[in-house]
Parts: sequence; structure tokens; C-alpha cells
Amino acid sequence: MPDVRCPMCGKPNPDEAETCQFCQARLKPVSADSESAAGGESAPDWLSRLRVQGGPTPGGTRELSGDSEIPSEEEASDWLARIRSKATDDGPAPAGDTAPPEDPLGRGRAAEPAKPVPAFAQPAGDEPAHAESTPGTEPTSGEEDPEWLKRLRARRSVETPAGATPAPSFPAPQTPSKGLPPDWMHTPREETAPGSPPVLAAAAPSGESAAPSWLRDVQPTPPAAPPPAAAPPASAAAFASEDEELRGAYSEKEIPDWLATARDEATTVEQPAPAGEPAAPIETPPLEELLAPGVLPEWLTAGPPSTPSTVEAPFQGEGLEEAVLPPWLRAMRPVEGPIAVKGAATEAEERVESAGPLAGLRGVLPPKVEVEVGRHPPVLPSLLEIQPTHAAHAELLQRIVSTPESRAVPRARRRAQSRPWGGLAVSLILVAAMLVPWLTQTSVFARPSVVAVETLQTANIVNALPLDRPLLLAVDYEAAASAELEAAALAVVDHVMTVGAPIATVSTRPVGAALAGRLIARTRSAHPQYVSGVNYFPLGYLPAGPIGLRAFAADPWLAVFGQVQPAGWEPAMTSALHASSNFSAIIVLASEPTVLQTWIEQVHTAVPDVPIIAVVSAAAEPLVRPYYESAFPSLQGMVVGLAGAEAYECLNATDPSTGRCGRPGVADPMWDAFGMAVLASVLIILVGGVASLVRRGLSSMRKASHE
Amino acid sequence: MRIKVSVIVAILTGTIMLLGYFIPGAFFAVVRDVMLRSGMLVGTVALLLGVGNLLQVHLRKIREQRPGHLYSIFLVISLFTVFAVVVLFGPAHTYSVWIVSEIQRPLEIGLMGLLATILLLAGVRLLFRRQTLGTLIFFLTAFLVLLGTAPLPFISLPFLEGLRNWIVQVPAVAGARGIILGIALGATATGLRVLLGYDQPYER
Amino acid sequence: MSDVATAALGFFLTVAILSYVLGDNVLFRVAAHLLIGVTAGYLAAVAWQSVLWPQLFGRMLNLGAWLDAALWIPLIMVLMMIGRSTPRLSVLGSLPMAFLVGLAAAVAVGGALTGTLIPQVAATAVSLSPVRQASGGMVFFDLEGALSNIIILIGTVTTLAYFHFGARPRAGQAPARPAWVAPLARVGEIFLAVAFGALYAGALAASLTALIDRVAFLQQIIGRLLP
Repeated sequence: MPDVRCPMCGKPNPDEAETCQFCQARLKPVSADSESAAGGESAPDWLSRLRVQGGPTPGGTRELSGDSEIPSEEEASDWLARIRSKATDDGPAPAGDTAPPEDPLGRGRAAEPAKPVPAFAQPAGDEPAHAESTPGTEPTSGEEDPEWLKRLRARRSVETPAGATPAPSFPAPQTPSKGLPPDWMHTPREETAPGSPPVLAAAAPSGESAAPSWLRDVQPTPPAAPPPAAAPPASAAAFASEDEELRGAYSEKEIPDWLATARDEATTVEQPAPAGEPAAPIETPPLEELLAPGVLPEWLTAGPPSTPSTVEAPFQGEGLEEAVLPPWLRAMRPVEGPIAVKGAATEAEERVESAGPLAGLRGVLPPKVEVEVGRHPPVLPSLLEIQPTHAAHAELLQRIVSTPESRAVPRARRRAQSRPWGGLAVSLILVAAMLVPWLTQTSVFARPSVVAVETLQTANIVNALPLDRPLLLAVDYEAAASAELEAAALAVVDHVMTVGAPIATVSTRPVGAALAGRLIARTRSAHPQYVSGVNYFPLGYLPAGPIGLRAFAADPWLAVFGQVQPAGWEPAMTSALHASSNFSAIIVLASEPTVLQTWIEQVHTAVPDVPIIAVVSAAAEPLVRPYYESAFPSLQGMVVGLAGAEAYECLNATDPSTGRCGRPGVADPMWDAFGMAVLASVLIILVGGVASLVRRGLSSMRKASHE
Repeated sequence: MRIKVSVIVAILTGTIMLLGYFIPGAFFAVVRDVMLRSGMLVGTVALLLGVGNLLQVHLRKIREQRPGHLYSIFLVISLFTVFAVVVLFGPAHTYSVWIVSEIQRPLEIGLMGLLATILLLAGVRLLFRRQTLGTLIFFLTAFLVLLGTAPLPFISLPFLEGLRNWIVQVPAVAGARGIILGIALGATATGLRVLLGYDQPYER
Repeated sequence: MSDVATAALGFFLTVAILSYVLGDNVLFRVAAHLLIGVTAGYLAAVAWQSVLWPQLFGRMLNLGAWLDAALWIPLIMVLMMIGRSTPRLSVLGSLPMAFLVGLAAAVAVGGALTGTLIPQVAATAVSLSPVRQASGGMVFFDLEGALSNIIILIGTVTTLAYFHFGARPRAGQAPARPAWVAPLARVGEIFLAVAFGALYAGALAASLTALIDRVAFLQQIIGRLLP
């Protein structure tokens, strides 16, 4: 026993069920007596055919089949005659798009070739003549629902086989609204304003060339009708009127004759295909003829735009100029594709509801909407009408884009530098310069004879350090600067350990603790009396930069350890570490000027009596020196770079026989290589400067000679 | 105007800290202490979140096998390894110091050494491309400072050292002082904009 | 790890980094990514081991520590910061960030005012008189000092004038600084060129020192390998 799908919830139900077992929706129309609902008139042939052919599909709708219901010649001629007379009586038809016969919403091309069906509602006088061929579409009066709707529901109970042409969803009112021509007879929306002559909804397929006489009579001027692909949608004017018109039309209890023969007419009417335009296959809709103009709102009857060539359809409105699209805009309109002007309804639009409260309507969304989540909308191609100039420009662009250079795909591996030879040459020169002293084992560079004032002051401060208060050593440089700063720091720390002052180390860098440990480990070899917790206190890492330093200035111990007490530390020194004013001096090892600036701003301002000594890289010296070269200096001493380290090492002791520092540290072995490297750098800059001057002179000479 | 809670927090925090610079007292000192220590902890968590973001980016790169994901494998493995070693043994342990001394230090010093080549190349290119008074003064200064920093072979020219010292102590200090003052003024203005609520960098 | 293995590792890493002079290559990229990983791992480990555990999460195990506002206030803010990583709780992260930014701004403003602006302005406003008095009361003539002070004063003022970007549009002409600022800015440009020249020389010297360190290391390794 075939199951019937509920139109509301989509679940299968037994065939004989009246209501859905799951959601209680009605599966079959309330009134099944189509003849009585039709007011005693026999159902027209096409409706009878629909009843026989169609039935609800499993989805609750009836798919439009490829077969069109072709009204008989007699029926077609009758309703066409009525249209003709109606057009004469009612005056110019309102603007609007005519719908393809099978498309009540006037949105697309007919699924099958079909003849256009005039959408004019037949005059009241002609209706009785069509009563026999018209399905019982008369509206009832005195009920809540229009009679036509009830009749349709009753007729919908007849299931159509798959592929059969569906019955019309609902009958159109018999009388169109005043002055509104059939939708499908109108030109497409973009080209027409209200009052434009109606254009047939769908051009006839190839083979149908001439428009019927009635059609020509209706249309004041033969329009350049759109092709079938751009079949005019249901006339906006036809469906523009309110529902009252629909109901009012049926209050007359008349069945328009043209409704009865609409499908037959559609197969016999020939659409005037505009010259050069592809003819559109038209499928005679079962209900289009039921839809009188002005019944449905305009948006339902909005049709697809026509092709550019149909823009030239003459406009017949009153006092309104025809809209003429510029060529460039016309060229942008798609000829084919999903957004092109459509003459046929899509599958969803052609689906006719056969059960439920929406029975008879077309294009209703299915009850279960499958929403695709998370997918990008498909990119659908559209065929545009390309002008020759546009094609030429596109070809030029394509040629430009497709050149091999632009087609280069970025590779994961970067390409080598365009000119590596310059860097390689400079590197080789520098390395060779550095290796010369080591390879020749010669020392041709004199040690600094004059020690800078700031270096002397540093040595004086260290010499005067008290032994009962710790010295704070801030190791605030990165590992990259350790080659240069370790040379200076080792010399200074060696001096401090020689003096015997306790040392506390701290760092605002995560690697500072390890670098501090490295420093102490290297100098402790010469000073084994330094023991952690006795005269060496590693305070560790101080986070958050200036915030941490501000907290450190207030209470160093709390800032570093919090409430933790390292085990085995000497209590007197530990208590001294609770106030930054207890430090005998602060030596900041920094590779960047901002680090030293932060120490000055946050710590020195809190404890201005504690002298600060800066051991900085040569790169930081220019921006650090203003703090020293001042009437109110924030720094009391400086040791700068490798030169300062060499000078400091020589301060400790100088061997009078060799002239070298008597207590060589890390800086002294590097001094000769440093001298050679600096000399090589100076020569490179000099050569570069001379070459640039020569080049400039040559270019100016060439310019002068040209002139 | 709707005032956000975060703006109020920022302004209130900044005001209390600034007042502590000018108003001595135990109350402000205690409040400032709590605020500073809280700020240190929050700043540390921000650091960790940054590392977490770095890890997330590279793990995604590995998962999606984007170009260069093999290098990201090196990064992730080294990150986790070093983290495990330092957390297990402590930052002052021999292993942790070894990581800094034998892995991090050679790599960073090597990068710093490359800078010499790049600086010289850039200098020569600048000489070729832009020959103005400023460029001339720039290179003349660099030339004299370099010559005065390192001695000359076989000969000794003390006046070079004196000239170098004068350059770095007088005109260079003047220019640097102007730069430092400009930076300080900018920092003050930026800080005041935050404290007055005009800038809200903490809002997404 | 043995010295040989350590030396070999250092040799490989140094060569990998210095190979950049030949252009970007696989070795350099491996070394660079290794550096980033090691640095990030060390940073995270020190942040946890030295700060977060002993001062926050480790203290939570001690009930008495909960009386300290410096525990539960940062704890709440830390939790809100961590919630910032999740989309649903990201709105909570703005409060601790606002706290941190407000704190940092106040610290920066206070430090800039008291540590840089006032001392540096005071350092510039020195006596331009060549007549000086020594600590012992002796008066002496220091022309060099006076000239230096004049140069520093002029250089500081003109450098600040160079950073004046208040150019006003003029009818029919390109925007330009006010007439009295333009010559000052030109002079300041010269002092800036001197300062940047000194910076360039210092950076070159520092980088040469680093290169010397690596070349010396390579030379030592190769010297050990050679007979």
C-alpha cells in the first residue's frame, strides 16, 4: 500500500489516512466533491485531466511534468476571444510581466516547451461558454475560504503519477483587475514600466513563428519579446492586486471560459519571437490562465530579466519614457546561467502543493528545509553577452596574467637572495681580517692608553664598596649580546670579587638568571670564597618589566620571592634584601638603552642615593650617555663595549714588559681581531663612499655630454 | 554615554599608582604593593598566553601540513623539550644553563654577527642611493667614531680617540637627548591618553 | 654531555646560522626555528617555575595565604586572563588587561616624568658661562665646557624642533612647517645625523664583536681537528 507523505512533517502515512499520524495535519482536503464546489458546473477538461494525471508526490507536492496540458483548439479559441473582447473593453492593460503558462510566480522558463497561454481573465460574458471546459474553479461565496480554493483542494486529492503535468495550484480570478493585461504577455520587468504592452510570457520554441491574431490585437505594438530563456515572468500587474480581487472575481460565481481552454490555447498560440533571439520553449501551464492580472502581488509575478536585445521593446505607457539601458549595463546581464533571465521555473518553483493548507500553491518551500551548514554557496557560472571591446580587454588581461612571471607559484622555500655575492664578499673580508691576528699570532694593535672618565669612575665606585651591604648586579642583556657584555661584565665582576663585596643578581629577562649563573661561575674559579647564600644571592627572574622594577624598588625580596624563603641563606644579608636602599650600588648590564632607562626611571627615582653603574653595549652607548653627561647625572659610571672592557682589564693590572693588561680577561684576546675587523669595516665604507662619488661624477659627466 | 567597566578599572588603577608618586603614606603603599604584585602575575600569564599562541599557530601548521610545517616540528619539539627540562630541574640547574650556553647563545650570537655584514651592505647601498648632506654627516660620524673606538695598527693617533670622545659626548649627546626627550614626551602623552580613557587598547 | 658533542653541536649551529650569507637555506631555517622553540620554551618554563608556581599556584596550597589580597586578587585576574582564550569567556579578559594597561601606563608616565623628562631638561638647562668654580672655591675659565654646553643646548632644542610635525596646508603650495620652525628643524636634522651615525658605529662594533666570538669559536674547533 503506497504511503502518503505528510505535507507538514514529511513523514510517511498510510494511504487511506485522513490526517497525519505524527503531526495531525490534514492529508486530504476537507471537501472532495469537486463538482459541487464548482457550483454545479462540470469540471473543465484540463482540470479533469489533472485529476487523473496528478497526485501528491512523496514530498507532498506534485512535480511539474514535462508534459504540458494542451488545451483543445476550441477551448483556446474561446478564451482567446474572450481575451480579445476583454482587452477591448478594459482598455490598456496595466504594466506587468506575464507569467509563463506553468509558472504562477512568473519566474522562469517553462520546464517544457509550451505554448504561451494568455493570462487574461476572460470577460464575464464569455465565462459561461467555457464553463464546460473549465474546471470547477468558481469561487464560493459566503465562506471564509474562497470557493476556488476549496475546489482546488478537492481536486488535489487526486494523485497524479510522476511526470504528469500538475494541475493548477489555484484558479485565477475570472476577471482581471482593470486595465491589467495578462502577465505573460508583458515584456520583462526591467524593460517595462506600468502600462507597457503585454508580452507573451514565453516565446514559442523554434518552429513557432507567428503570434496569434488575438495576441496581436491585444498588443498595441509588437514588442521585441524576450526569448524563452528570458520568458517574462508572471505579470506584476496581473498579480499586483490584492486578494480581494481574487475573491471578488470569484464572487460572481463564474468560471472563465478561457480558464477551461487555457492549456489548449497555450499549445496553439504562437509567440512572436524577436529577430535574432532564441525562442524559448513554453509549457502551457495548467493554471496560468486562471490567474488574472492584478490578482497576485507584483513580487510573485516578478519575472526574469530579458536579454539585452529585448531592451528595445517599445514602451507604450502613458507619459513615461521607456527605460533604455546603457550598452555596458546590458553587456553585464547574463545570457545564460543561474542568474540569467529565466523563462522556466525551477524545480522548486514548479512544485505544486497538493495537500495541506498550502494546497494549490506553487513554489512553496518544502516542510523540511535542509539547511546546509558550513558550506559556501556554490559559484554558478553565468554566460554574459560579451561585447567585442570587452572581449579584447579580457584577452589582454588574460595575456598579462598568464605570463610566466606572474604564474610563479610561491614555493615553500624562499629563493636565494638576488645578489648574495655582496654579502658573501663582505663576510669573507671581515672573517679574513679577524683571522689574520690569530693565524699570524701577532698583536699589532695598541691597548687603550687613555681610560675614559666614566670607566675610571666605575673603578672608583667598586673600590669603595662596603662589605656589609650587597651589591646588586642586574643581568639584563640577551644571549646575543653576551659576547660583548660578558667581556666587560667579567672584568667588573672580577674587580668586585677582588674587593670582596657581596653580590645579589637579578634579571628582568628570563635568560638572565642563566647568564648570571654563567658569569658567576666563570669568575668564581678565581674567587672560590663566593658561595651561594653567603655572599652570593641569586634573586632570579623579575617579570613584567617596569611594573616588576617598581615593585622591586619598593621591596626587592617580596617582588622576587613573595613569601618564599630560600633555605640556608645568611639572615643578615637576607634582611638587607628587603629594601632597595640597602644596596651598596647597582650595576646594570644592558644591551639596550630602554632597559637602562627603565632601571633609572623606576629604581633610581625611588632610591636616588644608590649609585647606578651602566655596563652597556657599544650600540646602546649614544642613548645612554645623556644620563651620564648631565649636571645631575642618573648614572655614576659607565663601561662601554669591548673597548671599555679592555680598558677596565688594564686598570686591574698592566704588564709593563708587554704592555698588555696583566689580568687578561675575555676582552684582551679579542682586541686584535676587533681592531682588524673595525679597520676592514672602515675601509669598506670608505671604498663604498669613493665609488659612489665616482659613479655620481660619471653620471653627471654623461648627462652633461648628452646635453 | 555608556561607560565600560574596563575603562573604569584602567583609570582607577592608573590614578592610584600615579597618586602614589606624589602622595606618601602607608595606605597608598599597601594598595600599590598589592597592585604591583598582581600586575606582575598577570603580566607573566600574558607571556604564557603568547607562548601558547605561538604553539597553537605552529601546531595548526603541522596539522594542516602547510608549506614549512617540517620546520614547525623542530620548533614544537624544542619548545616542549626545553620546557620539560627547565621545569623539572630549575632555571639555575646545570642542564638549564647548558641549554642557554650551548644552544641559545651560539644561535643568537651568530645572528648578531650576521648583523655586521648586513649593516655594512646597507651602509654602502645608502651611499650609492642617497647622497645628501645628512648622509654625508651620518657616514662621517660613523667613520670617525669607528676609527676612534679601535686603535690603528702599528701607529697610535690619540687625537682620533679625543675626537671620537668629543663626538659622542657633545653633538651625539645633544641629538640623543632630543630623541630621549621626544620619547619621554610621547610616552607621557600615550600614558595619559590611556589613563583618561581616550585610548582603550585592552578592548577587542 | 661530553665536550666533543657540545662542541660539535655548537659548530653545527654556528655554521647553520652563518650560512645565511649564502642566502636563505634549509640549515638556516632549521636553526632559526630551533632558536625560537628553545627561547619560547625557556621563557615559559621560567615564567612558571620562578613566578607563577611559587607566588601564586603554590601558595594556594597554604590556607593562610588566602588571607593575603595579593593572592586571590591576582588569582581571579589570572583566571579571567586564561578565559580570554576561549570565545565564550573572552569578554572577561578585558578586565585584567585593563588593569595591566592602566598600571603600566601609570608606571610609564610616572617614570618618564621623574626619571627622564625632569632630569634631562635640567641637564640641558646648564650654565653657559665659561666661568666655573671648582669645589675648592677656585674660579677657572672653561671655554670648552661652555662651548659644549651651548652646542648641547642648541642640539637638544633643534632636535626637538625637528620632531615638530605641525605642517599646515597652504593655498597653492605644499604643506610646510611654520617659518620659524623650519630652520631649527634643519639644524636639528644635522644633530640627528650625528647621533644616528654614532648609533650606527656602535651597532657595527657590537655586531663585529659577536662575529669575532663565533669566528674564534670556529677557529678553535677547526684548530683542534687539524693535526
